[in-house]
Amino acid sequence: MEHERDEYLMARVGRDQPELLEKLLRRHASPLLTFIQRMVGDHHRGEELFQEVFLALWIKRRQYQYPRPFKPWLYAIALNKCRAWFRNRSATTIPLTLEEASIDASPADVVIATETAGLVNRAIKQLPHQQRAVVVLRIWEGLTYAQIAEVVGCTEPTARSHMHHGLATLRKHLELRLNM
Amino acid sequence: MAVTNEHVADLVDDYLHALLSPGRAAEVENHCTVCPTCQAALDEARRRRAVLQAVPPSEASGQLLTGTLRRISEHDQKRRRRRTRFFVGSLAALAASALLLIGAQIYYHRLQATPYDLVVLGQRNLLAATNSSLRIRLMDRARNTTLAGVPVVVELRGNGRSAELARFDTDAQGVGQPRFRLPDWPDGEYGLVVTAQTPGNAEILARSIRLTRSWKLMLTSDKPVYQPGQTIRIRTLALRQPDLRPVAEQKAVFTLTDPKGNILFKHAGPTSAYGIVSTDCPLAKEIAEGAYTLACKIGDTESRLRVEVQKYVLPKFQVDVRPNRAFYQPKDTARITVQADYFFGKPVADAPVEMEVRQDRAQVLQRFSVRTDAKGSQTIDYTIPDELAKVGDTRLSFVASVTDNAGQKQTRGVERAVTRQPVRIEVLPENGKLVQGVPNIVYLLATRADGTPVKTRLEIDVLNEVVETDANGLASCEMTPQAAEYRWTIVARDAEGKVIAQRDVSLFAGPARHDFLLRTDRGIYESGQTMTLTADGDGDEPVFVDFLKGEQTLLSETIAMNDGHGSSAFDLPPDLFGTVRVCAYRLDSDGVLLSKTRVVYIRPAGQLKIAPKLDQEQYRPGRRAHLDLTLTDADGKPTPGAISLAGVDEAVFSVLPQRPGVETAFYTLERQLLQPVYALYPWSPERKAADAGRLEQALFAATTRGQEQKRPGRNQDWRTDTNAFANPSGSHTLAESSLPAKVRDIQHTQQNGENRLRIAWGVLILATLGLGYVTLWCFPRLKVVLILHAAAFLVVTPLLLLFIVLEVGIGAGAKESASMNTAASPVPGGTFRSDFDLTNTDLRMDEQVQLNFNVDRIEDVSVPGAVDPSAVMGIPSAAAPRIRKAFPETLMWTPQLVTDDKGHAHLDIELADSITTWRVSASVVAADGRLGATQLPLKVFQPFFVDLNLPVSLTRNDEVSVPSSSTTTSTSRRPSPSN
Repeated sequence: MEHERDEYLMARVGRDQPELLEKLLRRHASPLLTFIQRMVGDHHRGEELFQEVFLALWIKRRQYQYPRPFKPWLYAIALNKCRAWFRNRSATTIPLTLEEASIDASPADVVIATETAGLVNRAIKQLPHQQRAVVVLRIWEGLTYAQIAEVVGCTEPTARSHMHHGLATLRKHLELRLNM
Repeated sequence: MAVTNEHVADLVDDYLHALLSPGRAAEVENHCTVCPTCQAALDEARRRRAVLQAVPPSEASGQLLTGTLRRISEHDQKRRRRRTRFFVGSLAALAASALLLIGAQIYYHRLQATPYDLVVLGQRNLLAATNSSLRIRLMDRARNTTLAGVPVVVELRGNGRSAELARFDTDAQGVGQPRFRLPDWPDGEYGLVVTAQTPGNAEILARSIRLTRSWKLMLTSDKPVYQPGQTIRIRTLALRQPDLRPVAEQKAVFTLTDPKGNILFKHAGPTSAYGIVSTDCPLAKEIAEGAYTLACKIGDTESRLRVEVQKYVLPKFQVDVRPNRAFYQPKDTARITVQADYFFGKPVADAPVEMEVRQDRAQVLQRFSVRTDAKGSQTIDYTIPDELAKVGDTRLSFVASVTDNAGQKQTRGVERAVTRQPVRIEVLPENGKLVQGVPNIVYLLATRADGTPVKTRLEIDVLNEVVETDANGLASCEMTPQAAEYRWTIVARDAEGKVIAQRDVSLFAGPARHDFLLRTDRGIYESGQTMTLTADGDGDEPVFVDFLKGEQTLLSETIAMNDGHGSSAFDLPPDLFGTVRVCAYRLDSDGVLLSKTRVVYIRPAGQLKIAPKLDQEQYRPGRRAHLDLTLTDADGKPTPGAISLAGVDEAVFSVLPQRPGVETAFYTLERQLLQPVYALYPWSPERKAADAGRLEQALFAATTRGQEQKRPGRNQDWRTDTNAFANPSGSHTLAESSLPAKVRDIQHTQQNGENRLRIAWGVLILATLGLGYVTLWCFPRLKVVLILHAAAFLVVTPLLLLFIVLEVGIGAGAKESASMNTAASPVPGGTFRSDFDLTNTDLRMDEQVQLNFNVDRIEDVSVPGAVDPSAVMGIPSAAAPRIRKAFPETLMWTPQLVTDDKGHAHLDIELADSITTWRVSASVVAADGRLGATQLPLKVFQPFFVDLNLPVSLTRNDEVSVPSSSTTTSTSRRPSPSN
């Protein structure tokens, strides 16, 4: 429905209807948190940045121009927050927190899943920020390359190029560790 | 379907993640179907993608979502609080600003100048280390009253210095006239600060004045004329103005400039403690003849002296031509006496005399040829032709040439006027112009054409009165005019009743309410004497009197008037002497500034006397003369000083005359100011004729000038007129009033302040609107107010900006206009306007013109191996004859001979071989600047001597005839044989 579309909701938020912000928040919370955590590789920092992203969204709510696609705009804000964090972070970073496996899985599967997740996270962390953003947005957020280019702030071929190089790096990293 | 043979293992990830184009993706897919290796790679890629996608996404916890929403909410609350604080703070600031601006508006609106007006009248350029005077007036403009008894302090400040010049209380008329001594500070600009302790705030007037130094330099040389190869001896006496104190330790620069303007000589030296500096300037033997200019410069003051350089031989005798009368009428018989005497004192006897009578120095009317008698004298009678001087006066020259037995020729001439009007009558109202309603004294001066007085009876038709002139040719009468103009016919008759002169003159009389009489009890005063000034006019307005010497007020006095009459007597300060301008001014009842200026001469006190004494009356050539000099003051008390001595052959002054002993007149007379006096009478301060007081008063009355300044705003009381002292004499270059400047300053401050306030109000309104806009933007729910506010902002802002621009423009224009008005309305300076002038320039003085002609004379020269004249004369000779060798024209030159404490000095003079009379000139200056001068003859003679008459110059192979003459003490002369 039109009234439930992100863009419409955001436009109403921009007209000072803060109650609709919660709906958008809940709708995009997990994917956005995933994106941020994939980017920064830190669970707590990711939650912190998550709050800052929505605070920034609230502050800049009047700058939103309907019917601009909401999701790329949101992820662009998130990416800027991540970039800012990259610039200001200290030399030492907190190690990645392993994702918990599904509670339905067997203990062996949990261990394997945890190890795999850790492996993937470390591989992702090896990527440069720009490639990392493209890879995460493509693989886990399912954005098209056009949307990714809008989020990242580059052209679509550039986004594809980042994706290509990112995949190559991941392949190189994962081939050894997954015994493929 | 295209199948590539190349392995596509590297593209399998791109294939899976849709990075490949559709065609390329199809190739990869087909190749993998046929290539097991690439198929395996594709499978691996699929597994990697699965692994990647299998990584579970992060789940946002409810706590995170709640926390996020709470953080947003807190952020909003904080922001709202900040806006509220900003709004309240801004509102408070705006309110405070508005209050401040209201306060400032009230302050500027109520700002006004204090009602006190401080007026200062004096000069802007003052001489350092001299006495000066200011006239200061204080009044309350609000109450239109003068402020009496207010303490006033006059200070001089500048360059880190400060000095209190005077402190006094204003008199009953709110006026003060402090006399003070200016400090001996370096030349430059200083601030004159006059502070009056008026009720409340002190009234201050500060103006810039300039302290300078001014000197008067008298440059003298030993002689007026020089020959090439001689030495010019130069001396300068530098005295400080106006008190004429010697200028010590100042660098003086002498220069000599030839007739073409080339500087031939330059010398610098310091002045002595007596202000004397001298130098010798030798002339080259080959030098252009003509008028040379000597100059001496000290500081900015320069004095020049012209001397003649020419070849000449000194005359041995002088010719005097003496007409029996000072002027002649047609048909008169002029008796001309020609007298020829040698400079050593003997007459030129039995010498041929040629005399010419010339008209106006050109046309020769008659020639006479006679011989001198045994006394060197001859008288010639000449009848003046009747046809002379038919129109106007003419002048006759009597030119006599005498040739002695040695062939020496000397020529001298004299001029006399020929007129048909032997007696002149001058009418001199005591103030130049009569004043109606008050008794005026009118002086009548009867003189001959040569200026000598005539004792006669003068009949005045208007007064129907007959007055007799005294020995000075002066008579006076008194009249109280009632009309504006009178026409007098004055007839002079001799003892027999014959009319000898008649004069018609118009006299003008001003109304007493617009004029006043200023009368001095004398024309010439002695320093320190009591002067009584009397003023007659109308009303009670006081008469202010300033005494100016040069361009500086030295004394200020006030004559209080009571029912049109006032008198004031005061002692002249010792430093007030010389030619002094008396400037009197008053405001009449109609607010017209009236001023009178006149000149008085104050003889300097205690001029010095030199008593020179030679040890012999007459000397022999080559001997030593002992000269004793005693210096005393006017009371005969010995006084130390510095004497300058020069001994010059009297014959030099026959070549070119030089007037000696004029130091006192040079330093104390202002010839320009005294021109009206000189036009009437040959007055000099040294001339002390009997009963001359009235004559001097009449003569100096001729210097009176009247001035009337009519200004806008008539009918102003003098007490309230801001321009009451607007430069009444033309010399009051400091005529300043504190009120106009103060009012201008206040208006300027008000205008500037109000302009700034307008801008500030505009800014405040804009800020208020802006704050409202910001506030409503921060609280967007007040939409109606926001719209209204925005509308108001959009409407008000352009109007406000337009208002500010216009106001600033008008303010700037008004400021410019104000500055122009200020510039155009300074305290007006008076321009001198003489209402009328009774100076009669037609009257010419007896003038004896010394005409110089080529003179053939021989100079004493030594003759080696000359025959003993005593042997020739048959006179027994006890010793070998003395050969005279030294014949200088300047015997001695002593620029500065300082006496001892008792005023004594002596000098041994080694006499030259000239047989002549030396003119010894002595001038003296004391340490306090008192002057004196005298001269005495020093005669050198011997019973028998020989003179040669040599030409001025010889050319090689010339044949020359040298006449010679011998002279003995007996009356007989034996001409020697000529070679």
